[in-house]
Amino acid sequence: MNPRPLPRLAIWLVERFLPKADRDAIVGDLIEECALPARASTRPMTALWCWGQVARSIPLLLWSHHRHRDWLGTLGVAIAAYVVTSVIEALGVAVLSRLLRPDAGFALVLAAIVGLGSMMLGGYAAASIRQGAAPALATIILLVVLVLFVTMPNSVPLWYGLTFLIAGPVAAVAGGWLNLIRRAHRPA
Amino acid sequence: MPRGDLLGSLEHIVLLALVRLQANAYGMTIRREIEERTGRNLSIGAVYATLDRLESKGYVSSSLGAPTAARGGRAKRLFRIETDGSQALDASQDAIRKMTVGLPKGWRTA
Repeated sequence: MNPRPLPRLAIWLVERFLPKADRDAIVGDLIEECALPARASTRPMTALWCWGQVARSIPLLLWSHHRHRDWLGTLGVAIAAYVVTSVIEALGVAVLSRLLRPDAGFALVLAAIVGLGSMMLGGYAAASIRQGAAPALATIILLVVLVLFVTMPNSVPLWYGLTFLIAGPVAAVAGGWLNLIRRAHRPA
Repeated sequence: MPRGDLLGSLEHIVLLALVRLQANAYGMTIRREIEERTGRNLSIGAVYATLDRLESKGYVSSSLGAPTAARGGRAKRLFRIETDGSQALDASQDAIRKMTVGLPKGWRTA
């Protein structure tokens, strides 16, 4: 029985996203099943089946893992990352306000760049401590910005608030992705 | 097993697959056994999520097998049913049997 090669990206996703306890066994199971005569029809069909399995399995196992084991830890890491992100952002804005006139539009643009940069950094740091913490951080950012939008609608220009509402969570997730990519290219 | 803690349908089916497969019960064989017998095309993730849940309840235990070339050098995670799992399975089977006793013919299609 020769193992039929599975799509490399699918294996990469399983190895990056699934808990350690399951990932090797699951990749091995997929390789073994794809090599069975009943399953190994044509290469595209095998790849399609494998992708179906991976797409259905990752969300389930991630949910199961976080629900049963360490969702509290993941939330703790995300909250800590949010605190650090806020401190970095506040320091950056304080420095900018000393250097530029606070009412200048340019100062707000720079403040947004500093804020989004710190959120990306927060996502990166959170993912380096615990996979899954970056999406949790993104959720926290989204909730906080929404609350600020509702409770203090006129404290900042609309474009500024919308930027953080949309790009803030995206920056945190992007930071997490950067961490995953760095891990993938790190020698074993 | 505490009273009232009956197995979910997938837990029930997975435990029955473990009983059938005995020493050869691991993710791929369990998934295929269920597919062949019930026609349910489960994802491997659903099988592992169920097994992890059963393991956290103490109903099954797992151990790693040796890596093989047929699996791209990856080890199998072998599962076996524990005494608590057997009792839970018996209790669930018993509950279903009791609930179906005396039902009129054709109740499935009614």
